[in-house]
Amino acid sequence: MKKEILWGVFLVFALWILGSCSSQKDLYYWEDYKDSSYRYFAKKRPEDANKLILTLTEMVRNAEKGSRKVPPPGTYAELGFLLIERGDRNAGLSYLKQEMFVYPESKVFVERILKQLQ
Amino acid sequence: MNRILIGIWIGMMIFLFTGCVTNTFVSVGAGMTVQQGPTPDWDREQPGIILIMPPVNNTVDVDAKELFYTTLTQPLCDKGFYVISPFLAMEVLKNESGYDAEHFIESDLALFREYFGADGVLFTVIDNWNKSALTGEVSVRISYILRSAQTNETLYQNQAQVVLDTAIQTYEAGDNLWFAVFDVVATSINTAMSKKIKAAYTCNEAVLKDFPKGHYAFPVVSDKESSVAASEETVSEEVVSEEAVSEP
Repeated sequence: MKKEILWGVFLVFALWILGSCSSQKDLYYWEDYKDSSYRYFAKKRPEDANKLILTLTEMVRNAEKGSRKVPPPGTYAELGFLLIERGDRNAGLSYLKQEMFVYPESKVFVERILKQLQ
Repeated sequence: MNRILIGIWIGMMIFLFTGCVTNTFVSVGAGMTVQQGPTPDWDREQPGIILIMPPVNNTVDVDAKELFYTTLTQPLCDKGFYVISPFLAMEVLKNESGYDAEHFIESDLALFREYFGADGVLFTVIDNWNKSALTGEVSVRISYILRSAQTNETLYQNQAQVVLDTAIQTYEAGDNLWFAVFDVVATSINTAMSKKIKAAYTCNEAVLKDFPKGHYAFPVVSDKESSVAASEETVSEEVVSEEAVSEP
């Protein structure tokens, strides 16, 4: 009796775990963007900016983990802007241009940012 | 056979009971406006690029506006839209005196198409952003209005209210493992973010459930995407190494 009940319970959990495994892959890899962008926005301390730069860098490096295989919209642009603010102008400009390459629809907006940075 | 069915029933009960843990933690009420969800204009316009405006804050909490502003980017990107970065949008908006969304919520939005290339402009109105000192209960109510930057028509409208009980249950010896896992996850989120922000994220989730998908949610392999990896080599990764980042 007990054995059969346990088999039933086991069957339910096996199906549950199987169902969880087959869930769809996310479009993008976000690292801890939610947390680090919140901290940067709330505190605006240099260490929060550095943490966000690290997070965005990881999002670029691990973009393959998302189903679209590219970083989320705005990743390159934010990284570029933060690097320019930190004084790394050449690298920052490269990332801003990369945003326009990966997401051509960002052209109007990124060009305005570039104009503002001049 | 009957005994196996009893086992399956017990398993289902455990599964449902475990699932109910989150329901005791958060209560959500979405769609309280007369008109909710996408409007008929949505299908005509199919917006792809969304600009999120700084929230309109109707509460006494002065921090609510800045704190809520960042919470919509990730869920909207995951829905398949190109979302203009709020950090960067704010740089432009401040420069162009457009930081106060209340001035634009019912005006012509053509300027946002010109400055950002946006198809849609998302306005959010925070009507409640409160934490009870007595019970620790957090209550957040937010309205969401997406308007077309081309025709000024409303494309989507909704409202959500979240009441979050921030007193998290603690794991005690003898509780089942799933309680422990939930507790660890909930506690880590609580320590990382303010409880109000967590409530705001829950509000977003509730509302965005019926938000239509953007074009990136439908997989299309293009030459551009396949060549992204190659072009990334042109961007030096050395400049963003951990060593460089750790420098002030």
